[in-house]
Amino acid sequence: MYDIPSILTGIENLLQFKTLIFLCFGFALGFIVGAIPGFNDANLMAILLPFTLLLDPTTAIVTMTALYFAAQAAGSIPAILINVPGTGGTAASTLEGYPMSRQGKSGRALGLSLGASTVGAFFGATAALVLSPVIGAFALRFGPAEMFMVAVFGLTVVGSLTGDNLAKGLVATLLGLLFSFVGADSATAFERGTFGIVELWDGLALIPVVLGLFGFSELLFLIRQKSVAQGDISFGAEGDVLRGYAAALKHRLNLLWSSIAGTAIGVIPGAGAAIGTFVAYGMARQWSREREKFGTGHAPGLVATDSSNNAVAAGAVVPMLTLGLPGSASTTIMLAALFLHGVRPGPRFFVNFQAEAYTILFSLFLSAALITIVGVPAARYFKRVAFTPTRVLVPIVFVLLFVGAFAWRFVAFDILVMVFFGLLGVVMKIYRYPLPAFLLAFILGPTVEANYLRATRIGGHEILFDSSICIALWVLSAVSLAAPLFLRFRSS
Amino acid sequence: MPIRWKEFVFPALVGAWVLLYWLQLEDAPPAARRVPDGVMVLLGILCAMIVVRDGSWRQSRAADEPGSADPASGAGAGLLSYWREGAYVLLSILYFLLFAYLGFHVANVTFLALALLVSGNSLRTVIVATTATALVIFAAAQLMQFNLPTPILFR
Repeated sequence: MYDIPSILTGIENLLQFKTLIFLCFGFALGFIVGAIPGFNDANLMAILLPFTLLLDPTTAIVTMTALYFAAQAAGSIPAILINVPGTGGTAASTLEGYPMSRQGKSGRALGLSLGASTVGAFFGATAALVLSPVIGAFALRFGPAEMFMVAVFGLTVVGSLTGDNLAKGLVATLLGLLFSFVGADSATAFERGTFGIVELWDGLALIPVVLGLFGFSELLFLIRQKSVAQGDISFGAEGDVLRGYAAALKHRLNLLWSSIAGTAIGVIPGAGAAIGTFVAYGMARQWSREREKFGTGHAPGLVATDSSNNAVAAGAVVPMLTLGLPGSASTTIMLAALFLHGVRPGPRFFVNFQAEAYTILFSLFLSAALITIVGVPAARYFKRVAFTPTRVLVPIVFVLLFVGAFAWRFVAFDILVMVFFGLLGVVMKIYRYPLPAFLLAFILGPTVEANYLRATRIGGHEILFDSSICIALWVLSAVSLAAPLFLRFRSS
Repeated sequence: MPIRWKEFVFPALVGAWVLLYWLQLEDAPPAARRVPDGVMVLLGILCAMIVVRDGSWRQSRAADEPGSADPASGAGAGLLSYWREGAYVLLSILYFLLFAYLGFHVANVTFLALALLVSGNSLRTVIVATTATALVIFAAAQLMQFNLPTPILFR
């Protein structure tokens, strides 16, 4: 299961000078973006996606992984300083972090956050390294029927949990599927959804779709803002980041349980960091002797949320690699990056791409270390970054989007495709249809169709209910569909 | 019972797309239309559910949802305040046309200059930012050996 030569090759690939430079570059970029509320890591990853094609697959994937990991850790910075989370997963960090800032302890809060994030990230990375090959080995039993069901499960989870409305999540998923079928059908060569447009015969290219949905649509919203971040960022009184960092490491039990909770929730596709951090916060509060202090700037609360947040980020890599099921917008774009470089995550990932798999997993450890190395000295300088004027930034990024959309396969029509999906993204955001669900369905569409047709050709529709794995996946899909309804019923 | 028309917008767009898709698939062999047919049926059912549920009898509750502010509401006057977004969309289409007729670099320079002006930058910023960005993209295109098509006007 754990192939030592592949592990060593993976480490060797990671320790190449060029790969390390790009890992640091990706990390720095992710840290900056994570610290800017309103411009999230998924958008930046989408914009960078075409440019990673200049790199070899390993370097490109490591860069994206570092960017993703850094953004999760840095999301706590604006949550602590201005009460606005930089990423969805850091919403819970505002509960204790912001009150600490208001008490003039923002330096200490940032130190606590970075210390807890580093520990959570290391824990999550270790768990990912141990669990991924095990789940990968189990997934080798999957045939077309099981693969179809895994995709269905992933789509129901992301469709039902990424938005706030089940029906809208499912509509976004189904629409993504329908768009993925555009082009000449692989079996019959019959044109589907092309309407006579020659450029669509090969189907819609992934990059213009991603750039449109996440980049173009986001920029149209950013135009209205003077700077990327809103509000007043103040570092408060001169704090001691290092002292806060050391204090975080003293909360050993809290760090352990929060990291376990975060990793466990991260491994569930679609559960997301927001759930993980609030669960960890709830646990820390429940088990604390000073429950009344929670919500007033209490260090254990911040330690719990931030260690859990980064453990979730590492845990989410497991289903993405072994089952091809991303749980968030960022991991969906990471999945897209892997596909673009010919590295196909899924049950055979640990058979066909062992070295790449270990490179990714070990890069999580380096990223975790960089949270401390980069984060601690840089934390207080993010005030300036967050206030970059959009009136210069937006037009330049727009042109980069056009160039990125065109440069993938040198087809000018892809620019129009990007604009179309940008407008679709705007409408979907306004009417609250989740974009990650659409994108995941768009990526998995061909897999869903091919495996469905293959499975039903082998054994009719009965084959979809034959194996225990299929039945378990049917049950899990039903549970994931019922979960939001149950939660809504309980809250009402 | 008041009707929330805004909840009809997206399902209507989806409906139009599904209808066009379905029309093209009418003569398709069964293997090519089996999965899309299933997806379209489910889409139809879910869109109908959203229209009925969110568009009518759940309207009071949905209106209370945070972030349900709809730029489409207050139509006429509201739309004018989105002139900058509209200008960017038009500039994006102009970019495509310029790319096809005058070439990649002309499209970049024109888009940058116009977009920076639309965003409210001073002439000095427009000139500096346009020149710098266009030069960087030019260098990148040379470095990456972009396969640029010959513009239609120069063929």
